[in-house]
Amino acid sequence: MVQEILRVRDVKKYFGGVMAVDGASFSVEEQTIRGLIGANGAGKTTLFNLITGYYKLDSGKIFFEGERVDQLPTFKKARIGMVRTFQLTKVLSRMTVMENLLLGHKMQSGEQIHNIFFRQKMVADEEAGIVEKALEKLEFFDLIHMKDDYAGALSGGQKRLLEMARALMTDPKMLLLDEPFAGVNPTLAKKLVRRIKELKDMGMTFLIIEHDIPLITEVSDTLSFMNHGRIILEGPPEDVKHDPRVLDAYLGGGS
Amino acid sequence: MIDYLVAISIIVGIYAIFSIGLNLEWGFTGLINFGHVGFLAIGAYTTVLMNQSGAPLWLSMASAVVLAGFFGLLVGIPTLRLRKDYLAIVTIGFSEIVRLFLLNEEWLTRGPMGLFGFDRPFEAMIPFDYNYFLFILVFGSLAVIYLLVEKLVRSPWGRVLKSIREDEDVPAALGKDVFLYKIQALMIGSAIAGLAGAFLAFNMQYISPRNFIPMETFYAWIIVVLGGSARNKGTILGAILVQSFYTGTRYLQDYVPLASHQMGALRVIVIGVLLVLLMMYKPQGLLGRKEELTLGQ
Amino acid sequence: MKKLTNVNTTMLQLIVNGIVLGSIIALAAIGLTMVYGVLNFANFSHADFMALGAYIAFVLNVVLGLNIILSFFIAIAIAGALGVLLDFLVWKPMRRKNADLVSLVIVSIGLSLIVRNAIIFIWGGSTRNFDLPVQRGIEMLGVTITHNQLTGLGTAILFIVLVHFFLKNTKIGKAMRAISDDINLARISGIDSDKVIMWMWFIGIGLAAVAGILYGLETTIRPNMGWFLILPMFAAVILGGIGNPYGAMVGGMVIGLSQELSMLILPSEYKMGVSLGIMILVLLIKPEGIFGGTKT
Repeated sequence: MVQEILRVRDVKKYFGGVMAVDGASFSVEEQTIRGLIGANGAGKTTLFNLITGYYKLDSGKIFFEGERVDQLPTFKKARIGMVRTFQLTKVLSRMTVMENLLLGHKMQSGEQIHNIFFRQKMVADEEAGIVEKALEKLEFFDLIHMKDDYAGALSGGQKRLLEMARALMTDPKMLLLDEPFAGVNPTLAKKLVRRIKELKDMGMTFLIIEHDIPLITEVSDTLSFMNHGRIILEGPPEDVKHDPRVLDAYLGGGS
Repeated sequence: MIDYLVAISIIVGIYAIFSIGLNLEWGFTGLINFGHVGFLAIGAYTTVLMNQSGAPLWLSMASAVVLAGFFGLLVGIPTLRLRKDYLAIVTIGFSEIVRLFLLNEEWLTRGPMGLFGFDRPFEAMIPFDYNYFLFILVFGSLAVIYLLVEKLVRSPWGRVLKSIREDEDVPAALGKDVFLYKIQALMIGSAIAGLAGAFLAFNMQYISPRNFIPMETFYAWIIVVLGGSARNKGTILGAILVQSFYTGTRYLQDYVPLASHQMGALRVIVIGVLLVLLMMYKPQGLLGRKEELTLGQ
Repeated sequence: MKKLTNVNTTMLQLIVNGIVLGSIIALAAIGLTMVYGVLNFANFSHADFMALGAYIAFVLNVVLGLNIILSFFIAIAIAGALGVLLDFLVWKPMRRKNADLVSLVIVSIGLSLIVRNAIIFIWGGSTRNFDLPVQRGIEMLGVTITHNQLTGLGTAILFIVLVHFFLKNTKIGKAMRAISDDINLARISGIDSDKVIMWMWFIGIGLAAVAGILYGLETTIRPNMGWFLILPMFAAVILGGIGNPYGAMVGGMVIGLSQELSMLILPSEYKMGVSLGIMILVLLIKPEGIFGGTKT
């Protein structure tokens, strides 16, 4: 029996005159990879922002693992396992690549002041473990040679990888990726697709916004097509790809 | 001559402690606190008033630090979830209200007449010039605070603070309770200012609301910005430089045909110009790292 | 604790004083909120330009002997021009470097220190007054209104109306509102943001000067005069919604009235606390302000 990990019901968001998200509803099953496609302005990133708590809903409900979560602030959602990356990458420029990653690990005892002074060994051991974990991610994403550089010095594609690596440090149950392949070279993109599938097999769920149709088709189990703030169509990638409404949106006005 | 240098150094030490508190808030966490002097005042007056009502000095000082930190919490609660400049506006108001309170509640603070006649640590026991002891006390405390703050900022906790400074959406997206960290930074910075206030009282042996005007906050700001935000060593250097500037211009006074109020005004103009130029052309200050700041946007 | 006990504490008198003060705060707040809306930062030097405006008018009026009305208009023109000059020297270069909000705020503090102390350097710390004939106030309904207060109120209302006309009907005014809402969208629609920003500084600082001169008329001229109004100004801006000039107008009146009326229950020394209190209340309950601004 496949569980729904995310359930979005009739979510609406209004921006001073424009209905950015106009009653979007969909569900994502656990341990699947869902692609979210749609032309520019369809409301995909806004929907992401609503799901993760970055924006407040005007109406609607969101459930994560069966619990109602739409009123929770972003950080609480991240703590229960719902983590997102940003379309315009937000690497912490004045911190090193390594520091960016170390930040990601959840519930570090060293983040509490009393532990810093009174449980120094525990903090140091934990930190060593987190560093190991970060090194592993850096290896995989081909960023290891830049680990001590300031994140601001990375190229656009590398920043995107850093964001994904950082998000993975949180050991999320569900990862919401906003255009993770933009600016990433094809070889690395293929490697990423493989890794995402591996992670899925290990239990992670993905919701991915992407404009590159071949890539999103390859990585996703199911595609959701969004237009004018609503989820219009859902189904296997091959079917959705060829649906006239999708073709119309992409050839007609979008990217 | 030595006596004179010791006296000046004590002031440098006090400003350094005061400014390190601000550096934690601004340099490491990105909080714009324009009311830092308010916490200095709370520290000074709490120490003195408690001591004058009979409390032992250690208790008075501890209360000063705790109370200053507590007011940091109060100021933070309505402001730290909102835009950065709200904190700036509210803190200016806060420090001015504190000053007005000290000025007007004469039953408690003797208003503009100020307070004198209070104990100083171990005063009776020191056989030599007390200033030498105060020097050791202030710089000893500065060393301890420096080490404690350095330990904090190099820790995972400090890492979260820096991430908040850079872009608070990121730590939030990674599960950190940003508000909590900001509050902690503000409280600790304010508590440190409270301690500086106690030392200020001991040094001057007399405090009045006139010592706690907004300009003091901006002295701390120029010290932090000049030295290099988020560089505690820089803050100490900044304190030395600013105090030297201040003392130096006092001497210049004799050779320059300006009235004393004009000299004072000119001093502040120079500081203002320095602040503007630093933020425009060398925001990393003297000891900051240039690469860090060119990557900002 | 001192509480006023003479005739002037009747509520009506306080309301009159509050309206006069409120109109001054409103004028100052409009300029401040414009900068906030268009350039997205809190300009802490705004209050000191109020003072500077008053001093420039003072020089023209008292030192050079020009009549007060001429001094008034020349002073606000000079102040406005200074605003534009500063944009060229300081604000624009920082925009080019994509300076963040915090750097701009700190720079504004630096400017505030410079302006205020330049005033002290040139004119010293004592209070000054405009060269006006001393006139009796008008007495009505047990309330005294001085001629200065009437002139102040009238001028303030005139300028508020002018601002309204400007924002609604001129190209630049509309462009300013567009930039406040979304600078990128505005640029894409072909608005020359640099030019609009220059105008904004001219008007914003000019209005600050008007407010400063009126405040100097109503009270006295001294170097710190801006600082008495900095909190009420910001409170008015936040109350009305950042970036919303109409909000600033209403906010100014509310703050002015509240401050004066507070004397019924608070010692007058704590008037500033009223602004702070209102501001904190707004931040706790509805941070985007009563009317909602362009920035949250």
